[in-house]
Amino acid sequence: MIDTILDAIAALPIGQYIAEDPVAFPWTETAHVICLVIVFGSILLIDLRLMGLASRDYSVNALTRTILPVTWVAFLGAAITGALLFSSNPHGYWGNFYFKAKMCLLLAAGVNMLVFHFVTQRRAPMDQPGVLPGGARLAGFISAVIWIAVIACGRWIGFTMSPF
Amino acid sequence: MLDAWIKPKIDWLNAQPFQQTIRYTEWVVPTMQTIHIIAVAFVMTAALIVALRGIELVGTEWSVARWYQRFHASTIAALWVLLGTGTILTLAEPERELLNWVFRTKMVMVVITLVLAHLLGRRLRTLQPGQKAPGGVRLFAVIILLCWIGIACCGRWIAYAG
Repeated sequence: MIDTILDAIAALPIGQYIAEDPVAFPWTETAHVICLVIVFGSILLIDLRLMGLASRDYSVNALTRTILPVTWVAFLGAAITGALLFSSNPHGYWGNFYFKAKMCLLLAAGVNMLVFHFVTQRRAPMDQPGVLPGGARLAGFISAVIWIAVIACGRWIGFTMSPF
Repeated sequence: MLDAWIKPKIDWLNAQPFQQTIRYTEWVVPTMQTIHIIAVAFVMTAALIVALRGIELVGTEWSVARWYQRFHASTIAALWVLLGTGTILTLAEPERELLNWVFRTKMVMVVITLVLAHLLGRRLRTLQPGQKAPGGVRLFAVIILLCWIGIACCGRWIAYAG
């Protein structure tokens, strides 16, 4: 089943183009790194606020309102460029431990965000400056750790497989 | 000519035991690159938010000057981390970096961008709290963001060009 899907992705013209063109892969990877850096940096801004380590005079609701649109645009860019990189060598990426770990960590980051949004954020007052309850601080800490691990796995992919 | 001057220094570096340790310890380069990227995230996000605040797209609860102040200490700390990790990465593979025109371009751009960022900071410190930043200052913030993006592009292309 999975092999059929990977074969279909490998047969896509866009993937073959990225694998064969001398500048397509480097430019796609550059765009992916820049998008991921902005995703991580903007999320970290909110995580540090949740943990009470920075921007304590800015309410979490105001901060998320102002930062999350940036995060989502960058995440969309990272997802598109990441999919393009994957299409250049789907079997290679799928067989790579760090790629799978990165995908699991992204899933964990998503679950952490949903729990924060639907549970923690509704229980704690997020529209005032100041230090937040333990649940919110823990959510910020878990998010920061997960995203640092995402960056690390992304870098280790480059050292454990050839791009195509 | 520059290459001829640098090559003996690279040969000397490559003969040093500490260089061999950095180069051939498997986890050193990927770990340093990971920390380098995390520090880049601090610097680039700060530049992005200040620039976007300058053109009034985000963070209007705070002035440009206040956002700049918010990021100042973390950016300075991140720049020191970038210097440290960048030095270790250069020591690990000196020929890959020092003989590479993309690396040299990156270094020149870093110096120019730091000077521009310093000038922006000086200008922002002269503004009254809550005072709207003039158009030139906002344009300056956008130019600095573009410079950091260019530096990040060079950083990735060191691996491919040279």
